[in-house]
Order: sequence, then C-alpha cells, then structure tokens
Amino acid sequence: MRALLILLLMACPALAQSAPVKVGCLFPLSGSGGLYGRDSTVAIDMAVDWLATQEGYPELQVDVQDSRSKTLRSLQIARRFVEEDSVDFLCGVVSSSVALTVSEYARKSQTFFIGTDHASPTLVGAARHPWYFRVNNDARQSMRAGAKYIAEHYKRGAPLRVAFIGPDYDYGYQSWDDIRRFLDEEGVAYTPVSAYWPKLFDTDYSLYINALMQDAPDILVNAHWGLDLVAFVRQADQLGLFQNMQFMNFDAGGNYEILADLGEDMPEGLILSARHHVNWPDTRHNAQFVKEFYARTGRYPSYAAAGAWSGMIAIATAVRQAGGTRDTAALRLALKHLQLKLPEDPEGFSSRMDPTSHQMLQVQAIGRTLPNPDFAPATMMLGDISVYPPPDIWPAD
Amino acid sequence: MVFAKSWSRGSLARRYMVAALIAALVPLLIISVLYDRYAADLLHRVSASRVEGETEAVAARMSSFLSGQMNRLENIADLPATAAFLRAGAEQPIDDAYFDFLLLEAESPEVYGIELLADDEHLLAAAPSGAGKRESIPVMAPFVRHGGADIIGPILPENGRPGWFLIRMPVTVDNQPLGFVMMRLRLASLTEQMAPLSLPGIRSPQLVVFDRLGVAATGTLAAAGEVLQSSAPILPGWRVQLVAETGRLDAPRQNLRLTLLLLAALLAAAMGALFVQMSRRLSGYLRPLRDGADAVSRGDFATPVPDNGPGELGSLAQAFNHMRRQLREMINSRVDMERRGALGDMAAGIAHEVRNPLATVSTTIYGMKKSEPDPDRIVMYDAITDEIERVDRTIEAFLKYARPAAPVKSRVAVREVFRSLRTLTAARLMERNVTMNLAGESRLEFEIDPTHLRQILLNLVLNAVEAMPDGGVISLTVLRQNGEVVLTVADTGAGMDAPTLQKVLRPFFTTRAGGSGLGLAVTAELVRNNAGTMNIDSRPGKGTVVTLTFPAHKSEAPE
Repeated sequence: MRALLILLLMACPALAQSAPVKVGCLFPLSGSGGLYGRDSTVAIDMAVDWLATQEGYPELQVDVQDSRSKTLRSLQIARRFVEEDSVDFLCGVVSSSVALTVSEYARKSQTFFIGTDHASPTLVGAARHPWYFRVNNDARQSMRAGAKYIAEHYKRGAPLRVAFIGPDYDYGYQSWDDIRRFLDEEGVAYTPVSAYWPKLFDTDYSLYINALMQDAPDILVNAHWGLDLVAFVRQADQLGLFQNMQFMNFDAGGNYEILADLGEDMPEGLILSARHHVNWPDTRHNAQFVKEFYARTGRYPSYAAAGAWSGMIAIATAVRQAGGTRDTAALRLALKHLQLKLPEDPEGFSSRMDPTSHQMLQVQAIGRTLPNPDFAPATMMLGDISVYPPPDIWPAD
Repeated sequence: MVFAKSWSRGSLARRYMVAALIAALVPLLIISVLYDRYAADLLHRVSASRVEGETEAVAARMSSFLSGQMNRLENIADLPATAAFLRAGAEQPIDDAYFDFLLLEAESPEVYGIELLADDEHLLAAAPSGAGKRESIPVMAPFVRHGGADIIGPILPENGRPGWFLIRMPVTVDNQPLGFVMMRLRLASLTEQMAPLSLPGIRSPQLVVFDRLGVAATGTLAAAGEVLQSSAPILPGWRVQLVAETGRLDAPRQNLRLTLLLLAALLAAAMGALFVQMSRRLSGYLRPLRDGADAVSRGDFATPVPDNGPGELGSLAQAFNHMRRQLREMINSRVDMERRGALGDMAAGIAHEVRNPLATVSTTIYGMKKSEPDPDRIVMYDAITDEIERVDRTIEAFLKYARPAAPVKSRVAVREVFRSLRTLTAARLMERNVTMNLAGESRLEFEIDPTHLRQILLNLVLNAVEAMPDGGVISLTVLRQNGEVVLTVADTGAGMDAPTLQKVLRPFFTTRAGGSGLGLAVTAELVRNNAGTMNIDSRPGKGTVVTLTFPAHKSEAPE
C-alpha cells in the first residue's frame, strides 16, 4: 500500500505554479549556536543552487532570520513570516524549546513547519499536529540506537550503573526518558544512579562533574550539544571524569563542529554519534556534499547543514509531488510519504518520513573517538562505527 | 671530633646501616610533615569560623534571588492586562502582546513557566504554551507565605524530571480576588548558588526546608549528615546548611593514612633489603682479600685474590696482588742473599779444608807416580789424579756459584764470542755429531763481561750437546729487540718435562751421571750479575730453547 502510494506520488502532476515557493527559516546566526545557523544558511544556498539545475522542481525563495535561539524573538519572526511575508513554509529552529513555541504557532496559523535541526521527540509526539514535519533524526532514534549499542557492547553480569546529564529543557528530559525506555526494551540490566540538568547554555559544569564522579557510574549518558558539550568535555577531562566512567552522547556528540572545536582537547575513546558525519557514510553523495560545503566555506559542515539541506530538498520534493503549494492536503500527503536520498544515507538506504508521527526515519551511526588527521582542525574523528537502521515506524510514547 | 674518629674507625657495615637508616628516615620525615600539613589544612578548611561568613553570604545571595523572582511576579500581578485577562476568564483568548510579555518574562533559564490561574486555581493560560502541562503540585509539598506570596515546594526531581518550586501571588482589584499568577522556577537555579561552599569529599552545602528536606547544590535530594554550619533563614523554615560528608571525609583520610603507613613500611623494608644486599656484595669482595692476607701470613705468596671487584674494591684487590708479588720477590731475594752468604762461607771453608789437602795429595800422587815402575800402579795413580781433578773442578764451580766474580763489563763483539765458542766446542761437537748454526746480527756489540758471556754460552752449548747423545743441531742466534740484546741457544735434544724444568736451576740438581748440578745455576747467576734474564722453554722430545736478554746499553749490575 505504502509502495503504491509512493508510486502515485512519484507520478505527480506537472508543477502547477510558477511563483517561487516562499520559505521562512529561523536559525540562530549569532550567539551560542550561531554556527549551526550559519552552516544551515550555506546548505540552504547549496540546495537552492542544486534544485535550480534539476528539472521539475519549484524555485525556492528562502529568507533566513536570526532567532538567537530566543523563544519570543522566534515567535515574532514566525508571525512576521506568516502574517506579513505569507510564507508557504516555516523551517529550521535549533532549540527544541523554541521549536515547541514556533510549532504551536504553526498549528494555530495553519502553516507548514519543517523542522531541520531540533530533536525533542515531544514535537512529533505529544505536541504533534498536521502542520509539523521533521526531516532530521530525532533524539529518540538516537537513544534507541544508543541503547542497542550498550546492549551489544556491555554484556556483563552485574547491572550497569547508568547516570545522565543533559540540558534542563524538554530535549534533555526526553533523552533521559528514551535511553531508559530503550535499555529496558533491549533487556539491559542497569541501575539509574543519578540524573542532572544543568541549565542550557551553562558555562561551568564543575558542580555536576564532581557530583557525577562521586556517583561513580559505569556509563554516563550525556545529552548536551553545541558549546555546552564543548565546555562540559573540556572541564570533565580536566577533572578526570573520563578515567572513571564511559562517556556517551548519542545525538550530538559526534557532530563535526564539536570535534573541530575541541581539537586536541577531544579525548580518545568517547562514544559519540551525530545526525550527520563528514566521514560516514563513505558514499559519493556524502563526499560531494562535504566537498561542496568545504569549497564554499573553507570548513567542514556541522550536522545542521545536512538538516537544512534535507529541509530544502524535502520542501521542493513535496511541492513538486503536490503540484504546488495551494493544495495543502496534497502537500501534507506528499510530506507524509516523503522518501529522499540524503547525504547521511548509506548505500541501499533512503531516508523516509513516518506518516503517523511526521518524523523522518534515518540510519544512526555510533562510533568511538580515534585519532584522525584527515579533517583538521579536528584531531579525533569517529571510528569503529556501529550502524543502526531505523525502526519501521517511529516509536511513539 | 671524637665522633668523627669513631665514625672513620667504625666498620663499613655499620656505616652502611646508619646510612640506610638515614635514607629511610628522611623520606618518612618528609611524608609525615606533608601529612601533618594536609591534616592541618583540612582542619582549617572545615573550621566553622572560616565558613560562617561564606555560608551567610551564599544565603544572602539566595535570598536576593528569591526576592528578585517575587518582584518579577509582583510586576506581572500588578499589570492591568493581568487583571483584565483574569477578569475575562477562559472566555477570552489571551492577547498576543500580553502573551509575548509573559513569554519574555519566562524566557529566563531560571523560569520554567508562568501560569495564570482563576480564583478557583484552575489553569487559564501558560507561557510558554506547554508550561502548564508540567507536574501538578503534590499535596504534601512544603508551603510558606512570605511577602504577600506563597512559596510552594521545593519539589525534588522525580520521574526523570528536575526539581522545581512555585511562587504564587494573588491578583486582586479593589480587594476582590480575581485569580493568581504563578511562576514555576528551576530549583537548581536556587541551589546552584551554594556551589562555592562545596568541597567534594569533605563538606557539602544543602538547602534545608523545615529541617526535614535537604536539597543538594545540584538540585537533587541530599543525604543527612553532621551539620557544620547553618545560616540565617532565607525564607521562613528555609536555610543553608553545611554538612560534613562523614563517610567521604573519613574514608579518604583513612585511605591516605593507610597508604602513608604502607609506603613507610615498604620504604623501610626496601632499605633493609638494599642494605643486606649491599652488605653481602661487599662481604663477597672483602672475603677473598681477607683470605689472601691470611695466605700471605702463612707464607703463601703464590695465590692471587680476584681483582674484578667494582671501583675501589677492584683497585684494592689489584694493589693487594701487586703487594703480594713484590713481597714474594723481596723475600726470595733476601733468602737468596742469605743462602749465598752461607754458601760463600761454606765455600771458603771447603776451599781451605778440602782443596789444600787435595793439592797435597795430588802432589804426593804425582811424586809416587814418577817413581813407580809398576804399570798397573801407574794406572791407579792416574785414576786417583783424575778423581782429584774432578773434585777440584766441582769445588771450582761451587766457588763460582757461591761467590761469583763481579762482572767487568766492556764492549763485546758477539761475533768474536761466537767464534771462540765454536773453536772451543768444535772437537766436542764433532765427537757427538752435533751441528752448530750461528745466526742473527753477527756485528752486534753490547756491554757485558766478556768472560762471563763466554762462560754462559759455553755452559749452555755444552748442556745442549749433552742433551743430544745421538747428534742434532744447536742454533745460536743474536738479535736486538726493543733496545735489548736477545741471545737464544736452541737444541733439538731430549728436552725436559715440567717438573724437571722447575728444578733445573737449583744447585746440585742434575739429570746426568757425573754432572755437578751447578752448570745452569752458575749460568743463571752470571746472567743475573750482568743485568740479564734467562728463560728456559723446553718440551720433552722437542728440545730446549734458552733465551737470554741483556740490556743493549751499559747498566748497573743488580745489587
């Protein structure tokens, strides 16, 4: 049935509209997380340029505004996009807490919101609505893969002592819920010893690092991202945390920006993952994406770039399949059954949208930091990769 | 001074013992001092006098934080828009501008959300939108009324969510209650302010509410413990306390003490083992020296001591061996001199008491022989005369050995000596079918007593002839080597075995019937008197090589 539907969508009518598709994107372009927005903007330009060379795709007119990862500012930008610019799509947003407010507005204003970076499962779970779709892996899929990794690599008699630390907002809460849920599903014997939530964009983690060292878990699951993660790793390394427990971050830790920012301060042997890797999968598509990004910026892309690329390709593909933007039902149907070949997809796999949750299902690759000078300024890259395909349907609450 | 003397005279082993003890005690002393300083520092850090001020300062900051949040909430409650919204109730959607204002107020990381409640406490609106979906207030939650606000909580982390607390403020217009504004605050934002008071493993700060609920700086439940310090209340029933991490405080100290004790014991054991080892090694080197000294005292100068010891011990052993050799040579020389003196006296006696009567006997026999007509008797007289002459020759040789004439050195051409030697021995050589070869630097000249040289070479050639009863070859060579004149007399005769070779220079030792046993002894003496050395190398069946070495230039004869 699903295959038939996809075939029907592929045999879409010719694009009925000639006006460009208007997309309003919200990314932090300055402050903490500013790099994600800047990388996303580059990837949007790359996608628009690429689409222009392809036949049958609509022209995208993309406006990127600096949200500064602030909720009220983001809400006001979203309102302006919808009420003044009449955009067809809202897109972007790095922080899940901001995304929840923007998504709520998208629901009220009946505007499609294509999430490209934030990862809290709440957006496709409790806060799901017909106007929201997310094209990047969410933290739930990351935690599911992480639990499988732990189950495969830590088989022993005594229960594992697992601690958690993550930012104090929905993304952190969901990550802790999900890793426990999937450890239970995998039948891993473990004991949760502690959970800590430093505030988002904190700079001093010594209080929590000392507490974790006193708790002495076997595994520390970390859900920080961006500069928070950089600061945490640097301070934890100085305080000797990594000698006492295995550090794991399954959603954002292996992001190239983290590896580059830490440079020689990145310890060897941390277990990390990301939604996109510059050195995996070893496909022509991924290599071209990374090479093109490097040619434009002189640096390698963070995973936000892959998310923004996916967002643009998803919008163009859905509009093409729906024959335009006027028929929102057709557009929604196209988005629900979206199937895309993206840079983060290994050979033989294509990212696909879960029609119920509106969450893109993608492969998750988890690895260990190993010395690798190929992608300077990073000195460590992920190696010894374990690959976890997504489930058939997104695991709802 | 007395100690220094005593120390220098003390045994080496004792000195090692003292050195080992010092080496063990000094680190122990250092470790003890360091430990003492650590303990003193620990005491200082946990002392109440120092932390009292810090605790009160932190409590004041937390109180200020709470006042700030209450002030913010009061501002919201005082807004006409708040009263208007609450008055309208659920019938009217929240105004965008007012919602944005609430959102802005809630954007602080300390604030989870702001909620507007009706007079009957049911939720009308929340900013952000999802904030109102958080956990409900537990029935048994602590409750404090302070400054016109209700403080509810703290609620500890539960079900994988962080802790929080509420500040609730009533909204009234003209004394008529319209509802409430409520701010849900992050508990850790309050407790994190206690972090500067934390000393991991030693003490931890806690926010204690109504003396029954302790919250750690991380916003999690804190374990009860011995209270070191308590602040003034920051709210009624809320205070900051410093709690000793008793187990964690004692365990590292005990571990440290045990580690230090173990370290000290290991150090002492290691030093003891080192001392024993050093003592054994030293004894291993010194014992042969002691045995060597014992051997010398017993008159054994032939046994050397091993001289492969390290450093000064090896040098000492080498010096000991050198001393042993020198002593042996000195004693041998002294004995030889005394023996010669005795022999000289005896020789003088023999010359006087034997030779003179023999001369009388010989003269008498000669006279009797002249007048004897009986041929048989004449043969007997001749035999007596021959025997008397043989005895005289032996006495003559003995006199030469015992009282050798002092050399009178002159420049001697070896060629001339060899020529006269060949003339003197020609008949004997022919008789024994012996060939004599002369080789080397025939024009060589050197300082020596010519009579002695002739006697030396004659004795050696005659000995060689005697060693070759069936004929053979005698090779005489002369060479100049390293500033010395080297003469060799080699024969192809019977040779000698090692025991014979050892005794061959002794006076009166002979292997031939009729030999006096003084030939080689006299030869060796003559060589020595002319500052030369003589070496005899012989193998049974292969022959004998006698090597004489003389200084090429004039030198003093040994005394």
